[in-house]
Amino acid sequence: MDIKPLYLGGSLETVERKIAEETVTEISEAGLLRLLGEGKELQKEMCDLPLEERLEVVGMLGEVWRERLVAGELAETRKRLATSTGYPEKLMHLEFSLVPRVLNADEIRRNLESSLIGGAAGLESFVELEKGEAVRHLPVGPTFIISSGNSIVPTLIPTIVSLVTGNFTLLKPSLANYEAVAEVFAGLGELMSKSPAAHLMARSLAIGYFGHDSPGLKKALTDSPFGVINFWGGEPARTSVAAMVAENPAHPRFFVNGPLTGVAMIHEARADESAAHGLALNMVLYEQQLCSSPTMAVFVGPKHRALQFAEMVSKHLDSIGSQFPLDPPTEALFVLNSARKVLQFKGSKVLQSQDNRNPWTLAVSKERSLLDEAVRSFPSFGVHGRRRFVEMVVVDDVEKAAALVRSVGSMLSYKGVDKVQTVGLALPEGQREELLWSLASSGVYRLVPLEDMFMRSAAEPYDGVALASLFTFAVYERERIMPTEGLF
Amino acid sequence: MNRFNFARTSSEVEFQDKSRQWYVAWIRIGHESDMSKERDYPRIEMGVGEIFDRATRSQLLRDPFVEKIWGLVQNDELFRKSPDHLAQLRKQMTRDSLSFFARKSAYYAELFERLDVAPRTAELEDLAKLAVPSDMLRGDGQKPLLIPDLDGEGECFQSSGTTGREPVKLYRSPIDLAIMVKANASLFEYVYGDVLEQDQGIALFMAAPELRHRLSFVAFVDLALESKGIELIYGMDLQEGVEGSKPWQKLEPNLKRIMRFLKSKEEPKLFFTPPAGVYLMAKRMDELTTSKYIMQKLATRSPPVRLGKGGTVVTGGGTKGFADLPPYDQIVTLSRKHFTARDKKGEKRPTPFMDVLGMTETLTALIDRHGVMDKVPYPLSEVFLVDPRTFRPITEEGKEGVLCAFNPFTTSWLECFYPGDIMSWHSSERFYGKEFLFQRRLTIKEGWELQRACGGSLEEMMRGQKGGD
Repeated sequence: MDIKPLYLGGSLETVERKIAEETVTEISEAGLLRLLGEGKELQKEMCDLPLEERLEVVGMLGEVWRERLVAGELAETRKRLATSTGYPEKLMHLEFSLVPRVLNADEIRRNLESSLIGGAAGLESFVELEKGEAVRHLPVGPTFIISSGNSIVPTLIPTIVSLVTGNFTLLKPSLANYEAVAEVFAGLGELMSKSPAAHLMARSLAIGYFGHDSPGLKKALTDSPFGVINFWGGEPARTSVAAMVAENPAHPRFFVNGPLTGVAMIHEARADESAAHGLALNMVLYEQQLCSSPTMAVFVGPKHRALQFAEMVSKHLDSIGSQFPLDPPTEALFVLNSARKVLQFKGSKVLQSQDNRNPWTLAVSKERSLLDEAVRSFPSFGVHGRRRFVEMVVVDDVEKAAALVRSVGSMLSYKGVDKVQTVGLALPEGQREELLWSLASSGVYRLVPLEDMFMRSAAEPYDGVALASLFTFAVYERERIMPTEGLF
Repeated sequence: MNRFNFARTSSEVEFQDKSRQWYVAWIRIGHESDMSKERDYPRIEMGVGEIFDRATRSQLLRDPFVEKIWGLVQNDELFRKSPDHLAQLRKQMTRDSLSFFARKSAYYAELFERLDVAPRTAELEDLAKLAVPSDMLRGDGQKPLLIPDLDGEGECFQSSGTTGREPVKLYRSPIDLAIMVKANASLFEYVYGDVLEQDQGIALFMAAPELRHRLSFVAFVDLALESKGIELIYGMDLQEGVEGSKPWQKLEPNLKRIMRFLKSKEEPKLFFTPPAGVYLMAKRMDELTTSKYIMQKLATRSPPVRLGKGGTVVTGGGTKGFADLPPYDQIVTLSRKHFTARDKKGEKRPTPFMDVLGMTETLTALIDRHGVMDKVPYPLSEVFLVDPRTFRPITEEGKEGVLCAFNPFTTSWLECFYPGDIMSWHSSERFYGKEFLFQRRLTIKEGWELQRACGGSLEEMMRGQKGGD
């Protein structure tokens, strides 16, 4: 794979480095400083660019991708992404078809409207909050996004929000998704000649890879005038990056989107086909590597009903999973089979696939999770090592279910995950309301229907934070004088 | 790795060949393997007489199944039965054993139900379901698997703990210990090709006496030889200390005791050692200068080490952990130059080399004799291979699979497990109908390439790989 920086604004000073087995062309330290200097100027121009024009460019970028997809031009890229990420190719097909949706102008506008005080218009001019008070949102950048290694969509979202909020954006994808991410933004090259807005936005984005011990990365983190650094990932890189950012005299904002996971919560009164299909689908999509993927289920009701529900889920897992075939290594299957055995011997009823290309597992445990026992015996069966695997813990009331969700962050079997991001609910009316506050106060970020846990609304914040706010600062303007009588 | 590690550990072993210290093995003992923390297990130090005395007083012997087992184990005729006869016997013993555990323990009754195992009709596929990974037996992992009305006053053995994780710990009741001694002694004699005459011979074991109550292989050798009245000399001393805050234990040779073995005129001489032990001794003898050869000959009457009539070398523990150790064939070839033996008639013969594959988890070992037979289990042990991808039994000859062992004669827990060894089998005219070949240890690394959750784009850091210029 040829990994070179993508910058449509002109030439870049680069340096070649060997990273693992790859030869990577990185942006050099000097090149980085020059780029950021230009970026500051470009941000000023972006602030003068009407939001509608910015959004139009993003929408056009989505259309370029759609056309290339329909024309079959992306088939090889898709294949290579499946290989590099380990995801089934069919899943990558789905991923590619989601790109135009992520780049949909209306969706992004909705996101900005719900993210910024006073609405998206504040990106263009001061907008009145109340009489005599106004606010304007200006880019805090340049921004540096060290993005997720998972496929491409999780990388596109923060990058697009950073761009449309007017930031000069430096994006560092992963080795795994670099080619596909660069391919998406290469579409800006086609658009540059079509509109000044596209020309400006194309020059406001640079994509480059840096090794973890690269001088360029160190320079970027410790001594470059970034306004915000957004890191997606977990340890040990998170702490290492945080330590470097702490040295930066520009004191950029540092925001981490850490590793999170999902839990499915099913009440016996909603243990229906829809819930069973939803759980199965979310177990298969992205091999449970999304922060919203259900890696545990809690069933509220008697065990025999839980077992009936598990049987329903297993049918859907057979059907959905077989559409996304995997090729697990022998070691992974050995560990999986051994972990299943540990769970069986500790008391779980284990339902499992008979097809190694669709190796799903449902372990039904009574009252408490037994998964830590399996991970204690097989440390590689940690949360990142499990695929299409859910332990369904059966409890008799919703409070116990909420307590289980709260315990996830401290479990050995979830080492490497900060906490629960998403709870996918299949609860009857009444039970749902009862649980909402309990779950919300326990620190989860999303409470959504089980059926589409993986789906993200344009309006919703990201891990508890509105990304558009992260990438901007608000300038408050007050014309009226506030009453001070009685104060002095 | 839960294989017996008498004077052999895995990657943490430091091997040296010094003039007065030809064999030094360091065993770094983690805090989990500190024996002082195991007071919750009953640990009685017994001689073979006391073990058999307690075994015969076991309440379990009133159970018809245990009584039958006890009777079968006493009977050496098993080795003269046909493979088909033994296979049928094992099938029946399997079903009887599962029924026994279902009767004795609610835990097993529920387990069989969860796994859809019917004891009375159980087949090999059911044993594959019931085999537990050895890693599940670390720490207190065996405790929930022990039957409730267990005989006390047994012994507890453990693995070396060199993996840095909690060692595998196994409790053995007196009746299980008695079965262990009898069954292993019978198997040993079968592979040895003769009976060990009562009160004849001497043995040197390259282990420290303290390991007798810790490693079950050391215990079985010690007890089996005691039952035959054969003197056993331990060739190593266990030394303990602290380096920084980390306790260590070190095995060092006791030259005085080794010399006594070398000089002894008793026959047969049995030499129990890790492959590395005999190899390094032989290598050292091979490299002696003439003057040193003469000096050593005068002092020890060797080389060669004359093992005498019926003398044999018994290795165990495998070669893993010693990167520069040659293949077993070469170890045998070199060692035969310096360790000689004769047959019962006094005729010279290639020194027999037997190798023992034993694990803490199993009551009986698999033993081979170099050039004569590959590894054979005890006739009542159901040893089988499963496909590591499906865990279904492998029936094809020559195909590699994960070794599983079920011992229906163990009465304290359902002893059906797999340690993670990849082996193969081939047909045999001998009692078992099969002989097994060790292929390799299954290495469990991270099974999947993609393990990044929502992030980790500094993947070479996440994977612990190094980038750089």
